[in-house]
Amino acid sequence: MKKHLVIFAVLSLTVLEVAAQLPRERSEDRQVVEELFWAPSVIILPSVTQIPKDNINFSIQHVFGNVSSGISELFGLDASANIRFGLDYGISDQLSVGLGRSRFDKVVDAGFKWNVLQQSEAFPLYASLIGNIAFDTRENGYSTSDRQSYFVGLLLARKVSESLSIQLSPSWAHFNLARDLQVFGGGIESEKNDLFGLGMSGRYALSDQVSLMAEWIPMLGGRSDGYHDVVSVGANLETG
Amino acid sequence: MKPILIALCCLFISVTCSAQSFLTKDGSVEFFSKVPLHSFSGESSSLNGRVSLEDGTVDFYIDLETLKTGIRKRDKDMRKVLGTKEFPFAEFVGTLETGFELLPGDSKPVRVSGTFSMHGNDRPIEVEGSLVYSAVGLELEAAWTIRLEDYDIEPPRLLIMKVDQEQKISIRAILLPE
Repeated sequence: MKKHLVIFAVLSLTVLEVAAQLPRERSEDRQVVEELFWAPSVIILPSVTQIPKDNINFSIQHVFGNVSSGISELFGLDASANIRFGLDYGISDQLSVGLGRSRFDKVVDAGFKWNVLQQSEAFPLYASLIGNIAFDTRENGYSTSDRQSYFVGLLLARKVSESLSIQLSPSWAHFNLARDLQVFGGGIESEKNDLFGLGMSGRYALSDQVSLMAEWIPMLGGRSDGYHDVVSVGANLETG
Repeated sequence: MKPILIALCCLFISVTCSAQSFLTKDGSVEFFSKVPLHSFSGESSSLNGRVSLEDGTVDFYIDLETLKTGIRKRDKDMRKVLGTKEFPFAEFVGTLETGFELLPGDSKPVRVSGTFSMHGNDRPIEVEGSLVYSAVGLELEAAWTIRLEDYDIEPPRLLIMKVDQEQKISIRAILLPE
């Protein structure tokens, strides 16, 4: 008799469960970690932050002169080493394409950024592929092939805490044309066809409106004469 | 023998109840907000819910962090205003007042009364909608309006303009037999 009562109780509970409230479960959609960086670029390097689908991002990047030029050149601000205008479009939330035009060598470039993996409770980091093809548009008599260069990179990023995000960016640039250039003073500067770098970036949010970024891009292996490792620091201000 | 019969009856009732219950995990929610000279909307496809035609109970909830407005910054601000870390869900639990005597092939307007909860506040509401009992399952559409102040939510600002107190909410879902 006892056994039958247990069966009865279990089945009664089953009936009750059908009418009970659904258990509240957090959505898997929101488990993707967002806002590792506040903009599609950290400083010079792209970040894993994507332009949302159907959004357009217009950017003006301005590279000044050397800080070591001193007060007479206002620590490089008087010089304009390079300016790039960029226009990027989000094809999906994970894929964007873009065009750019730089003052230096009047280079026009086209590229993409694809977030292959996203940080979530199931996966520890973002992994994005970036690619770019650039074309030197100066009237200098170079062949079409000599004008072209390519850049590919992998962005590996993780939001370590609400405040801190880090990114590692191994990358490879290939120039079809490598020249030996005579420089002022009689020396020769040799260029290389292939350059490798390992970008390291970080962002620290001081508040909801202000964050600081730093970037270091050491070159790996051989480098063209006159090329240096890049160190940058910056600040992001949210104005919305 | 008698207890076994009772147990079988219970099993039958249980199966009947299941056949009269419908479930969704990917319904859609949309809201419309107004600011002077401007309006925007947000949506999510993560509406969870159950409708029981047996007893007329209705239970829906959504993880508010799945709502997207198309602008990342605005989404971030919205999550802050809604306090989603502390109150992750908006939910409605109620009962069909009319329309739950539904047979396959029927399509009826329905009225549901119950409690809508958000931001730690519960408010009784009545919702008008429609139910279609199709070959796939139950197709549900409903819409209602809430006032943010009823849920102790401070309307956010876009520049100097405040978002309107009234928010129009609509839901659509195809609920499959449970």
